[in-house]
Amino acid sequence: MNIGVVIGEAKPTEVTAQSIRPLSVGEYVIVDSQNGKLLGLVERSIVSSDALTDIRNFDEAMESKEVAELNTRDKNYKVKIGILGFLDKLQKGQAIVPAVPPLPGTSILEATQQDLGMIFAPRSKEWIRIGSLLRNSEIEAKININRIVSRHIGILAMTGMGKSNLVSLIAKQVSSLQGTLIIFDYHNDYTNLSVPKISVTDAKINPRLLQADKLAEVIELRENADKQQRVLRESFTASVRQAKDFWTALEEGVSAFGHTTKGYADSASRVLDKIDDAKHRFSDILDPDCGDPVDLIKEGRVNVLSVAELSERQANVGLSYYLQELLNDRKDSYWAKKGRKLSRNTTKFSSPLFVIIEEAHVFIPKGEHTDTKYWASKVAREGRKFGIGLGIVSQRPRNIDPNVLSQMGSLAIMKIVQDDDQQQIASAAESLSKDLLTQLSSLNIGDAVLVGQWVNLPSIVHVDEVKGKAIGSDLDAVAEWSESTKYKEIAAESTQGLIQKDLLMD
Amino acid sequence: MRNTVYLDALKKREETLSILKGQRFEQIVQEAKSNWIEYTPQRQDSVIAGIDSSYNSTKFQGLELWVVAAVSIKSDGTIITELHNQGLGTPNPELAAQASKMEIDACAASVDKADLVTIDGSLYSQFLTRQASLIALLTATVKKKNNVVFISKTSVTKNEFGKFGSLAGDIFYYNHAVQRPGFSKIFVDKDLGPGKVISSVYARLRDSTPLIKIELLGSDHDESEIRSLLDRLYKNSVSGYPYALKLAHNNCKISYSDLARLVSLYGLGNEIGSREVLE
Repeated sequence: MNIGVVIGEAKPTEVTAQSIRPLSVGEYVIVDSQNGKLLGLVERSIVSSDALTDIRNFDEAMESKEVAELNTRDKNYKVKIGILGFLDKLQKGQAIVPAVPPLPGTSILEATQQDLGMIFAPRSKEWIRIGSLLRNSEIEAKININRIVSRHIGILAMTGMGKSNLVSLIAKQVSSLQGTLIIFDYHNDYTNLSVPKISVTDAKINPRLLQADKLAEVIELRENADKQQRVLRESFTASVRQAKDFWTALEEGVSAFGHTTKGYADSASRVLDKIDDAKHRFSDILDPDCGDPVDLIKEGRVNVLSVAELSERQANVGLSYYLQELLNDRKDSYWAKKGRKLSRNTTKFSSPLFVIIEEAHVFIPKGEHTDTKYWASKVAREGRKFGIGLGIVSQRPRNIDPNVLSQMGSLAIMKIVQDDDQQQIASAAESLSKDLLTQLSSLNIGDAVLVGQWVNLPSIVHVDEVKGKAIGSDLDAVAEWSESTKYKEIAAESTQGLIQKDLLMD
Repeated sequence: MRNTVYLDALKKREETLSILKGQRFEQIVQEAKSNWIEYTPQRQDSVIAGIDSSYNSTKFQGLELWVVAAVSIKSDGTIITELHNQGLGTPNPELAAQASKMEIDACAASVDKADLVTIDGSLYSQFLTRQASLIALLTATVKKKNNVVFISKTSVTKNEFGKFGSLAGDIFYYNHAVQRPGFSKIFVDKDLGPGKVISSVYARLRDSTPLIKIELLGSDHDESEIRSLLDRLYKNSVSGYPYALKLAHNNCKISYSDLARLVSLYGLGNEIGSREVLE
């Protein structure tokens, strides 16, 4: 169906058209050019009224409104269409933009399911359904799971816009493919995720396996407490690491260092206090007898590692440890497959892994060094070769390290209002046009702009809601207060009945 | 240069603004007030056609590329008729006469298709500047259904207040006299001779909107007819001006960019001297 005509100046990558009806931003259309059908994306849609232009006062506006309603030619529907490539080539996965622009006068046609289906919902196994196109809702939207694992993803949105839902959806799909997914869950958002054979555990830190400076971080020694840092470093010997009772051996080592080294008695005493404090406060997390924490991760399953009980510094140590170990394991596995002799006898994971880090701006911050950032960056660079994919999730893209963000080959961007955030995303995602960027603030819950290698074309989709999820949802404070008051009343009434009146009078 | 102009303007300010005050001004405004009939128009459904014409030309090295167009259009955007002519060389008849003829032709095509036909401009200019054959055609067309009026936003005629020594056109004094909707008493001008009698009123359709001048052919018009006319104009007017006339103006306006396109279509863009004219 002819819905418009190319007008004005046309370029190979964009045209302006006059349309018969207002077209939605994000809607796909066919530009029926002289060289073949081109797929276009409506990037800007402008509706104007001849009568309601240059209005000087309210009365004039009301009068003009009346005549505008009467005049069938009054409305002007103008759209800017970005040309994505030849339709037939796109259906084969190739984006080829025409060398010659479509001629003014070229018809704009409605895109049919047949036109778009092969592009946005290929049938091969690696393409998984994520939702439907926002403006062409009859068309399924799929993502390429292979590209996620090999080229990484970033999921960026304001709070409450559907980040956890998208992560859950990916988790479900990965689970159905018997893939290995590890989610570092900072807010216990995924513990109730309804996925078969899900493994939910608290992330643990085995202090025996840490370097001395990392142990210092975990027990929360101040960074500039040089003498305390030295006490711990000198005391954290190989024999302490291997001691049956780790904490006692460490405390004895610290105590002995304090006694034998002049001027360090006070510092050793403070370190002992810190160790004692850590032992009691973080007994669930710091476990010298847990073996290798990476053993908690089960291959072929969705693994939710809760880091909610950890402080930011501890979580940082934990995450960096996991990332380091996972990358090294994948490297060993890769080289083993290539026939190279390994330093370790066995590898834990024989197939690719996908790791998701929630609250990425905390662990991979801009302008600040963290170990997680170092290892995340390394995974982003080397993961493709060794089969470890990284997904970073954040509501504050402007605070994420730009180098790491730019290595995310694919992005799902949901509603983002802050200009700083939008600019950071724009610089990280080359395929996100300015016009699409301006749409980010007008997206609704569950709507996402998908760009990068996991989709054949940039697209605006409505992500399917994961049914039965109990994740990331806001509290119903009013209902809870009401319940709480009710229980108080019940308690008061029931107690009142037990008190004898005559006793009160006495 | 400009500074001296400004300084001179300051010196002459009092003298220049005397048109807006003083005894004579007050006297004429008072006269205008006494002539004014207050009337708030009522909405009345009616099919109104607006007619306007436009012409433009560009000259270079003895050549003239000219275009004339006229249109009749209803308030709902339906075009009744579109007429145009164009050429290279000296236009014959002259462009204004061609435009006038097209307006009359458009009027002829519209009188049976609209309840009221409004033509942008003045009947005076039609009578004073056109050939006799055109005038005859015009009067015949207007009389066919007696549903044609001429409407203008500006007017320079001093028919009513010239006798008081007015400096500005009559419309200026009516504008200062009243802000309420209504119309002036019908002024019948028989000076142009038999068959060319013009009845005119100044009217305001809504509070504080600019005045329009309405001219009708003949002398047999009364105030109730004017009231009915204002009722019909009122419904589809914006800021006190009939919307059909605005549409007609926008539709037939020939701008310099239109001429530039024609220059390109004729392949005259590369002629020496053509570009400067169009810029």
